[in-house]
Amino acid sequence: MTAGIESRAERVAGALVRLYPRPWRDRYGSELLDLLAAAPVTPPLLLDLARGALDARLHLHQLLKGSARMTTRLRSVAITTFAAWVLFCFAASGVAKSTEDLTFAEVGHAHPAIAAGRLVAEFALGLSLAAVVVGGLPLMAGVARQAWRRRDPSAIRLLVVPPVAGAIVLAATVLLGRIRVGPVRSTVDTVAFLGWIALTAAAAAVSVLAVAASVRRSDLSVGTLRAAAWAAAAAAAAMTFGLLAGAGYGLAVWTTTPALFHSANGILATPLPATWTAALIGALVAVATADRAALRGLAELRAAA
Amino acid sequence: MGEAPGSWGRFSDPAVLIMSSLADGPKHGYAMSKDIESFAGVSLQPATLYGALARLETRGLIEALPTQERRRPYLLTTQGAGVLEAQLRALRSVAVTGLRRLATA
Repeated sequence: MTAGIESRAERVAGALVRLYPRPWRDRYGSELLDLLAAAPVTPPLLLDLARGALDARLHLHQLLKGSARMTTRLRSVAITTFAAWVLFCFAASGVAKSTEDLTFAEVGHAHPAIAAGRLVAEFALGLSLAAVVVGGLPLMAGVARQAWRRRDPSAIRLLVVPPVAGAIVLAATVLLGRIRVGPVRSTVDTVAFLGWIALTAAAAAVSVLAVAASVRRSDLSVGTLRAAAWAAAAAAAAMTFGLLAGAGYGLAVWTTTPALFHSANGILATPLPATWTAALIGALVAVATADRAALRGLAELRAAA
Repeated sequence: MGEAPGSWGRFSDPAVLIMSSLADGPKHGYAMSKDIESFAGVSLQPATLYGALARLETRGLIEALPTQERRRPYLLTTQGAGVLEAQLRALRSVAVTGLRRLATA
């Protein structure tokens, strides 16, 4: 075959590949072109491509759309659950901060039901952390492997965001712990504390956005995404359990020691019910979001089974 | 998971060949094509190979792994291994029966 005829045949092959429906080309187009580059363009190959394009249009179009939709939804489930879990941790840390006073430990000793409620809530938080780690680590390992292989600077930058944000928050925490910026509960002290909360919230938000962008742009295997959806369901169940145990703990403190419940042990010496109500609302939003995502993920897994 | 590869028309034989090729580990399209040529003597055309791959993947019998150096390897899933085993047992039964009848004819 002369060079002129060969290039014409290659052009015909390329044109036949363009006859495939877009979802098919998006998914397999580059692989097919890679294989075509290694094969001599012959009439049987051109006929095979034409039949393949027709078959893809007649039979595979809907199947591929469904498959692409499933991976997109599973990614969304993983990202949403992670964001909800971060919010849940914020709410839980608010409760933990407001109950660090020794009086709460003493109340726990006097009323075993209160101590048990707190222990169960902490255990559930630990379980949710384990689920996030088990589902999230393989996802992020896949994202990091690809970013490194492709030498993609923007993907690497996204991956660096969470550790850098964490390091900044840690440094600010250590700094605030060592330097007394003013007398306790003075205006300067209060502003410094509120600034620390704002910094932590901003670091968490930026980290969640970076993780979401990394996961969305990466080419992850369906197996990893399915495992992440199962882990998301486990995290959502643990968070639901933790919310119920935490609410039970609050109610038990309210009924057994009303004076402590109505004390000024909240964040920045505000009334405790205000802090707990804010934490409860945050946890409720987080749990509702995570449960909804988990149900979506389980429905996708069931549909694919 | 719906119908077995036996009902996929012209894609049924390529599907069994592809799953057999992946039975010993993940491979990308080009490696699969060469492997099938060496163990079955069949040269699959690219569009036939990818038509069968798409069917196998959408039915969860194989799974795409992340791209490595611009090529995407495929892995036989547990479900795919089960389907392949059933198909190969059926083929063996046909082969054994046919050979026995030829010998006694």
